[in-house]
Amino acid sequence: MDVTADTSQKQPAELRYEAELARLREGDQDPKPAGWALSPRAVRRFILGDKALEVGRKFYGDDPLVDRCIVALMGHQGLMLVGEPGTAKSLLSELLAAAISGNSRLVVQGSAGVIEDHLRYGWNYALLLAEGPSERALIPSPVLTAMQGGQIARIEELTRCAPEVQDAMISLLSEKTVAMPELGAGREVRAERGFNVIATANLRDLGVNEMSSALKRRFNFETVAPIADAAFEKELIARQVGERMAEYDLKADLPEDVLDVVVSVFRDLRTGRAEDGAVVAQPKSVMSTAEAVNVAHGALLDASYLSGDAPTGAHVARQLRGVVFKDDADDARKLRAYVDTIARARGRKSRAWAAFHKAAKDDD
Amino acid sequence: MRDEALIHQVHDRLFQPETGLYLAPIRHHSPACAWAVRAMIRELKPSRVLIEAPHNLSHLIPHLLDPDTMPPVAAASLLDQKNGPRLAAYYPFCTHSPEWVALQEGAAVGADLRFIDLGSDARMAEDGDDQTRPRALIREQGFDSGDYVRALCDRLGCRDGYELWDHLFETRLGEADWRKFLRDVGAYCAALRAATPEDEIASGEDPAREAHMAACLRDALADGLADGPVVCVIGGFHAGPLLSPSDTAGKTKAGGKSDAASYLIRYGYKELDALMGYGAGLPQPAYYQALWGHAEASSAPPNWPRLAHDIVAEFASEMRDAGHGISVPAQVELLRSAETLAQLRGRPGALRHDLFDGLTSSLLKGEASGADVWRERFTLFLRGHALGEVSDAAGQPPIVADARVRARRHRFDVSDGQRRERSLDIRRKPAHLAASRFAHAMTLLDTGFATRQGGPDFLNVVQTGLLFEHWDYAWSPRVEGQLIEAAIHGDTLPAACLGKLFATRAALADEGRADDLGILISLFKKGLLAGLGTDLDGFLVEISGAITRSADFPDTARAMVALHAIETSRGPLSLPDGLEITPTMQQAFARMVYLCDDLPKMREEAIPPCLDALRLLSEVMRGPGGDYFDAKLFEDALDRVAEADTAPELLGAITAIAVAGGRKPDHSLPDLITAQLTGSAPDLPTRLAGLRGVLAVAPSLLWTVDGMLDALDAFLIELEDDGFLEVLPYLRLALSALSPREADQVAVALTRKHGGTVGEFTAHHHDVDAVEAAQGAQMDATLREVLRADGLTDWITGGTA
Repeated sequence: MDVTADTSQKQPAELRYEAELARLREGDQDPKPAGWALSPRAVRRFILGDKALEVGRKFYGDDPLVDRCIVALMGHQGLMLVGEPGTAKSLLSELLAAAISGNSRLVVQGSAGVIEDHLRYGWNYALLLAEGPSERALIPSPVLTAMQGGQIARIEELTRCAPEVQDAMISLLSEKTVAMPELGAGREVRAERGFNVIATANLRDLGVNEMSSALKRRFNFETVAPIADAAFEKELIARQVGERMAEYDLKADLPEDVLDVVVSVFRDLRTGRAEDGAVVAQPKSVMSTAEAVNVAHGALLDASYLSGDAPTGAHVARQLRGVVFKDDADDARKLRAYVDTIARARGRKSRAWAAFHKAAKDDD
Repeated sequence: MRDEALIHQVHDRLFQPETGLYLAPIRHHSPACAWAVRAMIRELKPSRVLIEAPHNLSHLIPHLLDPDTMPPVAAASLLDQKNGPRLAAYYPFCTHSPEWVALQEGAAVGADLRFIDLGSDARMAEDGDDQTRPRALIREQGFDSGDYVRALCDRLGCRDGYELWDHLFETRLGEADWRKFLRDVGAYCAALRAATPEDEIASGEDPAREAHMAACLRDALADGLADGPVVCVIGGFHAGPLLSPSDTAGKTKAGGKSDAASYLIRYGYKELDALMGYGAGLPQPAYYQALWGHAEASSAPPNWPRLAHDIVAEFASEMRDAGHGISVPAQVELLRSAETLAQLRGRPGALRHDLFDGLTSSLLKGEASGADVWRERFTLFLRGHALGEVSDAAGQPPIVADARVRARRHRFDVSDGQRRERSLDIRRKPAHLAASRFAHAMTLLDTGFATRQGGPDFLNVVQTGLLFEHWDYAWSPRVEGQLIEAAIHGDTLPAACLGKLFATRAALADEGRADDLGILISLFKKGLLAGLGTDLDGFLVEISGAITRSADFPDTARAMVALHAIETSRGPLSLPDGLEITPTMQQAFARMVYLCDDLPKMREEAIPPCLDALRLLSEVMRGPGGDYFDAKLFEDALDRVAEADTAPELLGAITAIAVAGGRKPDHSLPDLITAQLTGSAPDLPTRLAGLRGVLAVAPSLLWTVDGMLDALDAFLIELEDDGFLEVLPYLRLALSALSPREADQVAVALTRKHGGTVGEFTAHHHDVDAVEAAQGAQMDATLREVLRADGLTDWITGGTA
């Protein structure tokens, strides 16, 4: 595979998996909801794989979740994917849109800068001034385009949009109509069948806007969970740290036992349960795999550039506070409790944990 | 290929008209299997119906058929071991159990009914490690694990063996063609067996059981075809070996003596579901009961949409009654999701998993967590809480006899129903202590046998130093009734007590009070008093769990102190060898230290319990046995609290603890109090807060630390009269922490400071001299005279003069 081409221009899912989608379409005998390019069962096979048709599995971990997502999109409610960062919410949303509508590009990227126009329509102001309001001067939003084409619209990070912009979604989802008074009384676009919305949201990050209950009612929520398998997560972290370190002129590697400390700390604090079953107070900070990679990476850089020795648990402890527990006193206290009990006990058996415990206590 | 041949063989040879053998491979508690078994017996009208249940339970069949017996019921089987605890095992029946249906239908066609499995004693002895918990006599292999199930799940998009079973077989409930259905179950189970490693089967109890069942079948068939066919209802896993009974049985003899005693008890859906942990049958019995009920009502496959609708509507109504209403649109969305999911998954209607998925989609708004409240409520709803009835003719369970034997052994007179008294010297006489434990155990089971009239109250920590316990007791039918009720928890008194503790714990969880530490520790103490000893290990685990989840500082501190008191106790509450409480206590300590950081954020009304807790903690940490704990962690935590912006009461208390422990110089306490008293807090009572804190945790510091009394004295002297009256009630409240002796000590110190003696400050009544007395008597006489003249004598004497 041509690596440069792959990274420099990421293709949308419907092009990346063009051949798979074509094979699925060809053999698709099951009933299709109006406006759908594939039957629900074929959509399922596209995401979860079908050996017979050589369709690869693209989403791991929770098959019933995929079923529920597909069914939600067949109904009147929108689909809201929530969960920690780095849990493949966007990937799932892209795959669903590509399979159902053959188009995953009708996306609104949520941010504080998004205004209502981005969800409805805007204007080409040169044309607007020259010709007055006309179809030609109107710039439809991705959502409007999806309504006209009976396709799936995607809204990423909905909770980053201001509440009034979120409010615009309420009427959009219940009426499935966009009125265009500028083009004349009674002008409106009614959604074609097949239209629906997949939103992704983060409910825990700081700086996100609370969703109104009116909006919540219009969505079916699905929680995408972090990677459940510890060994798989460890492998993933090691791989990603390796990739990052390739950018530096260093030959450094995280020793196995130190990597174990990183994985355990993150998993324990994320799940609220240590491997031996002891209950751990869960911090509010996001303890995602992505953050674990940051900590491991930071520890490695610290060891290599600053202290100049082999990375130990102490480096992990020092990174943990800066990378993860940024400004929340309550989280710091939860970490302290974790260090005082679990890390301390483990420190009696493992050198990496002992170093972690000591450094974390000194830091306190 | 060998496996495939085996599967075909089972499929083709389940029904053998030539020999008269008809095997019905089933899954326990499966309504679809029950339906097929019923159709089979009604059509074949067999002469014999053989059922996979321990043969020594056969004497219970008439009781099971008694019209007064209503499922869920269970055959309980007990086995006394030479070395080790008595074992108990249960064989439950519910209305939709194929075994229950086979009994009822077999009786209806006049068939001879027999249980053919190996005796329950052999089955129990085979069972391994956990000796104290009840076990299931129903056992199923491989329905939920193994390569075959996993591969099929992958292929059909099911998440586990339960969903797979429902998908493949429960969807066929009500099918008229029982032959086809049972053949498919047989083939499926044969495939499960083929995927199970042979040495795993050979090393377990299955070969012996199958040989015994085959022997029973062989004997039943030997009587010939004349009477009619023989129907045999067995777990699908065993169908293969029973196709040719004579070959499998070899020379095995059927029946034999059994040492286990067995009887019939009322059973509940809750217990039925709880036994799921032992791999028996299907979970959430109320759901399968609903399936069965719908199919039975229409004598046809259930109307699936109707069924789903009924379940959701009933759930919504139950939730509405419990104050958790579900809006109509949400109900509609739940049903729509469930139905559409069922379509997507290729099912005739929404099954249990589809309903759960629909519920997840429609009711969970926000991030789902492992213990989601709606899924939990739905689980409880689908589990149900039906309770069975056992006919009176079935006799008494042995727990009654056990309790009687124990009562006599401990010299309680139970020969009649008369109420008697008994005093027990519990600290000096082991026999009396044992008797006390028995009485406590009977109390724990709410039997009403004995009431404690006096003596130490360990539960409420009142007068725990007393030497004698006084009981009055009487044996009555009510005691027996309560014991029979308790039989569901266990067959002996200790087993039932332990079961009851866990049941109470589960009930707390249902009420949302799973982590009420006060109650949990009180239950643990009851267990200790009842002499459950090391069996309480499991309960201690529950307490540990609750501690690690506790979010309340005073509760956690009290729990730690209570555990510490048990640890150091030497009386009836003392720990038996082998029961380790220290780790739990350490956990409580760690959690308490963690929760210390909540103190600065405490609301005002929450502060008094925190002060109490701090006092208890500082007493324990400084007292004997305080070295159980790492005082440094506690001190660090208190220092953090002191540095934070903490309420003045708490600051006073924490400073007092630090001074009493010698960690801070003495003067820091009067400095703090002076600073607070002379500060600018607008209302006077607030300025007293620090003093309240000090007095709450260490009152003696008031007169042992130099400068404390001076600080208080100076403050009071400065006050105007109005100010004094304003602070007076608060001052009295704060000083009420002092005992009378301590108050005297303060008084001595104060008078010494101001000069003079205590006596001079004490209020006196003036003596009356002779003149005054004479004047008084004179006045009295005059008054009496006046009243008599006015006819009012009755008024002052009350008519007695």
